[in-house]
Amino acid sequence: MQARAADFRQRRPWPPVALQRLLLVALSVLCVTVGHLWAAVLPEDRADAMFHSYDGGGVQVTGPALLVREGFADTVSLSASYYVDDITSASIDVVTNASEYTERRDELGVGMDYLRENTIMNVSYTISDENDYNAHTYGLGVSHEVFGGMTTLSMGYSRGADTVLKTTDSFFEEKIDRDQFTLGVAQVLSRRAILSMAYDLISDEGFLNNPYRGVIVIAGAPTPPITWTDPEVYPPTRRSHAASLGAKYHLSSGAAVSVNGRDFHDTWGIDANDFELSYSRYFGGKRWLVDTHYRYYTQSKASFYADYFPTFQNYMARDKELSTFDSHSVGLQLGYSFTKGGWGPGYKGTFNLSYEYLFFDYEDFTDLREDKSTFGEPYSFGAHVVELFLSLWF
Amino acid sequence: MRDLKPCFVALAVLLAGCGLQPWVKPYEREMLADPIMSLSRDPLADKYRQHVYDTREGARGAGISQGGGCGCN
Repeated sequence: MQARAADFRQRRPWPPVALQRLLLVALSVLCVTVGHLWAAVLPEDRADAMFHSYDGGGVQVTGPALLVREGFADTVSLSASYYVDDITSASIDVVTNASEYTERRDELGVGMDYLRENTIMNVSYTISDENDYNAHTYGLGVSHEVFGGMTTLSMGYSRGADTVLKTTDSFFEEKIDRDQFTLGVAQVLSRRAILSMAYDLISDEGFLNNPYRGVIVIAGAPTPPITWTDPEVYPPTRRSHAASLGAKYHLSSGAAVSVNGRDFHDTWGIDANDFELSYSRYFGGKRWLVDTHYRYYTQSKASFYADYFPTFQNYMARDKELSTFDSHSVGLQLGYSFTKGGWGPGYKGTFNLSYEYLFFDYEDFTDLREDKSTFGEPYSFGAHVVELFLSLWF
Repeated sequence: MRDLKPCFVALAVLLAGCGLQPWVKPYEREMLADPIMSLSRDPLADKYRQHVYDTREGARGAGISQGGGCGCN
C-alpha cells in the first residue's frame, strides 16, 4: 500500500503546468484591466430559511437550512449559513453490505466579502460534522469587474481537511487533504444576454474510499463462489478538471431561458458531461415566478471500478457513483412574492416551493439485494427532491 | 519557454482588446438586472441542489455552487 501511494505521488507534478498557465493568464487579465475602475456591488442583504427533502433509492434525507447575509458600511458583507441533513439510509449499498442506519450531518459556514472599487475579495470557512466524517474548508476568492461592468473575472482557492471515521471501529481514523482552484468569467453579451464560464481543478490526497463498502471477487466459473473483501481500495490521490459554459437570454414579456453544459474528467478515468436547459417566467404582474429545468448527466466508469472482479487488483471499487450511468432530471419551482412591487428591486419577500424528479440508470452496476450469488439486472432508481423556502431581502 | 507561449498569445489578445469600449451602457441593462437573469438567484437552494448532484455523481466542480463536507458515507 505504501509503495502504491508513493507511485501515485511521484506522478503528481505540483503545481501542474496547466494550472500555472491558467493562473498566469488570469493574473495577466487582472493586471491589464486594473486601470478600468468601475464600481462593483456587494451581494444583497437577505435571509433565507429552507426545509429540504430527498427520497430515492432507499435513502431519505430531510432537514432545515438557513442563510443570513448583512452588509456594513457599504464595503463589507458578512454571511452565515447552517444546514442539516437527517439521513435514513437503506440504499442498495447499505442493504447489500450492512443494515439500515440513521445519521445526521450539520454544516456551519461563515464568510466575509470586502468591496474596494471594482474588486470584491472574500474569505470563508465551513465545517461539516457527522458521526463518521468531518470536514473543514477554508476559502479565499477575488472577483473583479472590467469593461464598464460588462465582464466579471473571478478566481478562488479553497483548502479542505477531512477526517474519515468508522462507526464500527473506534480506532479507525484517516485523513483527506483537498485543494480546489476556481476560475470564472461572466460576460455581458448584449442588453438581453449574458455568458458564464467556470473552471475548477480539484486535487485530493488521502483515504478516498468508503470504509464500509466491499467489492466482489469471483474465483472461478461457471458457478463460482463469491468472496467479499472489505473495504474497497482506491488510489490515494485524485485530480479532476471541470469546465462549464452557460448562457442566459432575456425573452420579451418577463421570461428568460438558459443553457448550461459541463465537461469533466479526472485521473481515475471518469469522463462526464451534463447539459441543462432552464426556463423562467413571471405571472400575475410579477407576483408569481415559475422556473422549470431539464438536466441530463452521463459518465463513464473509473478505471478500477467493476461490478465484480475476476482476480484481486491493487485498486478495486464497487461504488455505483464510479460506475457507468446516466441520469435525467426535471424540475419545477413556483415562487410567490408577498411584498409590494413583486420580484422587482428593493425590499421584497418570497415563498418558494420546488420539486425535482431524478432518474438514475446504471449500465454496469447490478442489483444483488435478493441473491448475492447471481448478478441480476442493471440497477436503476428514481428520486424525489422537495424544497420549501422563504426569502427576505432588506 | 515554449510552455509560456500560449500565455503570451493570450496576453497579446487581451492587450489588443483593451481598445474595446463597453457596448452595453449602464442605462441599457434593465433586463440584465432582472432577478430571472441572475446566475444564482437562490444561493441556499442552489447549494442544496448541487449537493444532491455531487453526492450521487462522479463529477464535481464548475457546478451551481461550492460547498464543504461529504454527507455520503
